[in-house]
Amino acid sequence: MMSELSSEFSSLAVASIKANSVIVNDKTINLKDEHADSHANERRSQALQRPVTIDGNTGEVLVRKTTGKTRIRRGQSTEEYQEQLEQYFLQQKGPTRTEENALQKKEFDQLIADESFDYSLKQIRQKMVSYAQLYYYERDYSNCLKVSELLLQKFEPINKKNKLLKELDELKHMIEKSKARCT
Amino acid sequence: MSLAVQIPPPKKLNKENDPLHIIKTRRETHNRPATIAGPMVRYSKLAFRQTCREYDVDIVYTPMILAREFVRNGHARMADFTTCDQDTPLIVQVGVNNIADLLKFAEMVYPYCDGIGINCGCPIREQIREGIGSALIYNGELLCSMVKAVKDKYGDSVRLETKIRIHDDVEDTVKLCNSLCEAGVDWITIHGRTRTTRSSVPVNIDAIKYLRENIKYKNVPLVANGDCFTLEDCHRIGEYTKVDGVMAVRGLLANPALFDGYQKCPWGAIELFVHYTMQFGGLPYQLLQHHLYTMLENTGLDKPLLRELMELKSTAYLIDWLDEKFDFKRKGDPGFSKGVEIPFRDSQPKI
Repeated sequence: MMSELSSEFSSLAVASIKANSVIVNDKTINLKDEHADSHANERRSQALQRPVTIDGNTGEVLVRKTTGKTRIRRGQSTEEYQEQLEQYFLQQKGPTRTEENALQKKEFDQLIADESFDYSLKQIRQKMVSYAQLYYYERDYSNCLKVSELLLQKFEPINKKNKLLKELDELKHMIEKSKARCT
Repeated sequence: MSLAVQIPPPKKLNKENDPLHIIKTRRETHNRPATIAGPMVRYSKLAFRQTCREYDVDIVYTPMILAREFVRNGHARMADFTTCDQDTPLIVQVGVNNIADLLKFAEMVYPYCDGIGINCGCPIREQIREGIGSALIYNGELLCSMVKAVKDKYGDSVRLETKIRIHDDVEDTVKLCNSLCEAGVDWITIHGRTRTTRSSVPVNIDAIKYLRENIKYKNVPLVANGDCFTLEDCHRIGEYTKVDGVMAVRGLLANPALFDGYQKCPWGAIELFVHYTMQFGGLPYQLLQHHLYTMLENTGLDKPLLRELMELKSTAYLIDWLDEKFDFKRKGDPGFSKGVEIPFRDSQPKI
């Protein structure tokens, strides 16, 4: 190791090489992380794991926990992947693209009319509330009022155990403020 | 694998969006290293990426996306990756521990980005236990085989980067980098800390310099990452280490305009960030709130107002608060995004 290092540094005027550092042109370069030892406990809890690929085609991998227990991360068959490709490229047309000025009332009207929308999904609710927030931000209070009232009607029936309290509160706040500012 | 679905081809790379070309030529064309906004878990979402791009950032990363989830789950894809036409040059960062998932992931993202980066630096325990993130720098054989599999399949049509941390013994990092170069990696980003070094400990810039001097393959660019909080830091790190690019991460979170020479977050960046957040939609409120907290703290806003910000319950209340406390401009208002100092309403205390 040392001889390899010496030859590597031959053109750089190496003055001396110590175990953890090397001196090049009168400057000591730290080759070891001097703080690493102080994190010995942390290191133990982050013991390195090498996953074992069980099936290279499906991506089935065996990982070993620090406790010694092993867990298999199930692979994905060709058919399953094909389904995902169809969903992603054919139905969704790739990742979600949101261009500047793309959130339009027309699109909101189409989406709110879509009965298949599952408002129990947070992502769906978040997307729909984005329209109301954009109008509120742009000080377009009449559209904000319309959109917020429609969303409130959709959200209230699915508010089980007050889980949507914050979302409902925000919609009511926008409705109240928009009404005041519209008049 | 015979596919019924027609996979779109990789996005065409040219001088404007090829990250490798940008990294290799910025010194010549701009007299500085390439400036890169690195991946931040949860935070490098579209609105923040577009804000950074307004301030002299050459290349921007997405947060790490887990390949395993992305190729198997439509909801994960919806949550993890949104983009737009102006979101370029873009590197999609991936957390992965096997070749099959990486190849599938590459196939699904390359039409929509300008490069793919393998995360070999994440120190989060849960990822390391899965053999993802910084675990990969101790599993060079797997890492190099993943790089080789992508480059053998796609060659120069897909740019592939690895973002690594240094080892306790930097000679191990030299060996790993040489192997990565032999496997065909396009460039390597080096975070000058080991996987257990805390971010409060200064980055080991000497190690990065040493790597640049000792990696055999001088034609493969290196990017330095760690402790870049100002444009001066960027120049200093670039000058000292002789790397081709400098990546900022935490620094940009507080001040997205740092590469443009701003010493603290300009007010205009806050207006821009809120504008993009509203335009693109879908950013969870807690993320919006935390982004604004870090930026406003960086502007020097006093603590009582920061506390008020953290007590706001949702986006609508936040908008009201911004309007009440500050002259908060929208796009189209004269001076939108151009302000530097905090435009307090008259009744507010000056700092």
